[in-house]
Amino acid sequence: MIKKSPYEMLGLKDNFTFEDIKKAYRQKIRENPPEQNPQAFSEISDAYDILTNEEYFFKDAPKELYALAVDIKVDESPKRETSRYLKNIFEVPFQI
Amino acid sequence: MNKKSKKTFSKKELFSLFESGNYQKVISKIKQFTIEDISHEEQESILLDSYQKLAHNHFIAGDVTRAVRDIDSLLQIHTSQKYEIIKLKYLCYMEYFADAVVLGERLILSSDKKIKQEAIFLYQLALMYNGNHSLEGTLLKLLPKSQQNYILGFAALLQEDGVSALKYFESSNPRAKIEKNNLEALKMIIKGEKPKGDLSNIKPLYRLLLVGEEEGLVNTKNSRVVKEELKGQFANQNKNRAMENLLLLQEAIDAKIIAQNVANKEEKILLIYNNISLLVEKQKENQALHLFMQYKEDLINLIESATLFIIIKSHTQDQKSNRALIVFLTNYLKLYHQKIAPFQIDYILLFLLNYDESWAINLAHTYNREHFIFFVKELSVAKVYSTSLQEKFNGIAKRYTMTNSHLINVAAKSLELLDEKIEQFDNQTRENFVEQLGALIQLLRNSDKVHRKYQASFLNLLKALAFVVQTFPYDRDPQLYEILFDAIEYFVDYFGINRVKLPLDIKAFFVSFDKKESIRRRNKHPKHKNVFEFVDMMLNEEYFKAFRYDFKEEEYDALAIKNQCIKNLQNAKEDPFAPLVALKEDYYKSYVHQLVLDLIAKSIELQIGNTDEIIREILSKLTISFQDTMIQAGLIQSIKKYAKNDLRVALVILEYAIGSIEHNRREYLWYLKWLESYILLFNNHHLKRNSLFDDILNEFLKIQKKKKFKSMNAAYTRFLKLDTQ
Repeated sequence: MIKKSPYEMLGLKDNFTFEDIKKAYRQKIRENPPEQNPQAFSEISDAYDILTNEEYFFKDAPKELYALAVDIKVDESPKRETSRYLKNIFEVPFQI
Repeated sequence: MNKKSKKTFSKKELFSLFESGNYQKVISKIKQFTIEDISHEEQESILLDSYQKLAHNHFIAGDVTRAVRDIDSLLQIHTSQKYEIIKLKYLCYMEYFADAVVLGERLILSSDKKIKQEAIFLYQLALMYNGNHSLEGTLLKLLPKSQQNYILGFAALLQEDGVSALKYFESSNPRAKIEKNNLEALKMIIKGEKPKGDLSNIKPLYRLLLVGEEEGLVNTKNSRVVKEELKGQFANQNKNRAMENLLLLQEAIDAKIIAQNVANKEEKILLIYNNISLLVEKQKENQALHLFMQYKEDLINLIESATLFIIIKSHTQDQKSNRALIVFLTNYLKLYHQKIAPFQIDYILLFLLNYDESWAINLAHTYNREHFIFFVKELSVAKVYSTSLQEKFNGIAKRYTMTNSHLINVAAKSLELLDEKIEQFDNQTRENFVEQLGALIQLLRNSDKVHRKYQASFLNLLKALAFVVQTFPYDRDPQLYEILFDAIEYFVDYFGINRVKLPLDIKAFFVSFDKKESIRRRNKHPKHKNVFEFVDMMLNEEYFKAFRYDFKEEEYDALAIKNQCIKNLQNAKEDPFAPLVALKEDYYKSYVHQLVLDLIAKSIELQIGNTDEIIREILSKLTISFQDTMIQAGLIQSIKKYAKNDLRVALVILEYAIGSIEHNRREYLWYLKWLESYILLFNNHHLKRNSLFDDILNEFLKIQKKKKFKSMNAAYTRFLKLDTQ
């Protein structure tokens, strides 16, 4: 199953060092305490473990696939005017 | 002037042309030739049929203009409403609605009910398409209810009243399944639903509107225009649907769609990354690798890319990308070594080891991965044991890391791989290798406070060493055997490993060590009798392993279990016979019963505790009883063996065995033989008779008197005398 990237889970962008991971983790945990948001808390903890705990990393990371957040809006397809098309082409509805 | 007569053509050939579907040829032959032996009626009939079939074929192929031309030719030969109704249908298809209305007006007056109904149906639709939306109620009522609702539904639809149209279509229930499907498709079109179900049999127009497929669509001007408009829309829709699937991480898409439709470079590469992940998830690793290679220069900007590349490479056999992988991971480390954990660096180095060992070591130096260098480089070249090496090793072994554990496993694997080359070594190389092995084993033996989590990898290394050392004859390198034996014993005790659970190579090594001779077989593969056995062997790794040595592992295990029980008994451990449970699955194997008897004998010999209780406990561990056939068979043989060492042991076992047999099972020959053995033991060793002996003697005489076993006759006569003494 494709999970969210652990770096993204912790909000780590371009400029950071390995030491910053801990800070980012603390910040995220403060924002998502377990009693309020248990799901997010568990995902953040998993992300932190993957990045900092070799046991988790060796167990999970080499097998896990991560997804990266992409926020693109897909254009909606123009709606076809069905009746316009049906007006133009005759189709015998019942077999003759 | 003599008019040149028409050439002739055979009737048979003409019919043959018709049968093979060459209707155009049939028509031209009739026009050009005089057909031999054919009546006028026959000729007209075949000509009409040919025109009709030709028209139908053209219509099916979408060429309605030619279909109408065929029907017109047919009508010139024979005017009939049967054919005119077909022309009406074709005119409607060609969108010649004005002509259709004129023809329809005439045909709705037909006296043939079927033609009349068809004509009304087509006439009403043609009227609507011609712009006249008012329906003629009296005519409509002549149609079946289902067709009425269909026309009413269409009338509503053409006036853009989808709700009413759906209402009428709901009440239009055609009988034929194909028409039901058509109606369902039409409803889907009106509701704007996503297509579902099998769309192969529905009307081409509906299929075009639902999924953009144009196959079978009639070739009219309007249909061509509609087709062009819809194709563009569908291409756009498919692209959007694909992009949506990718964004929802549901399905990988053609990377060209991403490249063509996403202008932002950053977004594009993120989508490519996700697309590759989706391909890997669907196990399309080769495609994933191809895409990764195509975009590797961009993908390196993502910190997640190394793991993804490694996952892909682990699942493909591609060799061409090896160099690219090395370059990619080298650059990746350059970019991210400060952002990733040290163990992640080790992970990448470990992976690189498979591709270029010296390159991996160079990188390990660059990023100061000392443990990595120690295991991969220093340990492999150490020929002489040294205290500094030991100190380094102890320091590493004290603290557990997964990388070190992996590296120990790598070392074990390389030893096993080297084993295949040992036979090709020259003397010097061989000597060096033995020294190297010695240094390594000594290092292990002298290690101190090894972290408990290293148990599996250390055992793996010891297993590899046991396997490799047995390649060398014992008499040539006895020291190697001795230090390895010491090292294994040390770790078995240190980690508290159950000896039965030791790897086969180590068990075999113990046997080799005891015998002072390697039991490892020289030829690598067993001789297989037939192809099936060979296939079995290929599928069964255990079979291969078992063939490595000249011994039976199960018997070795049983012996280890027995020794463990005796040790437990001597040390007064609680539940001393607990290890026996491991043999429960081998209940039917004879050695287990022998082992149980031997263990009972040993327990009696040691004189620890109540013998009856001990025997009961041993038997209950394996749910064995003396009544079991396997015990019946071997008991007397074993008793003779025990009697030679300790008569008391033999007597106690026999007494217990005899007493444990239920009364209803005592009139068997094997039981009588037990009694005979007991009496003979007493008699031959001149033991003082007691009441138990007398009871057994009486029982023997009583049973033999009744059963009269021939083989017991001599004993019976002899024991009778004994009884009277």
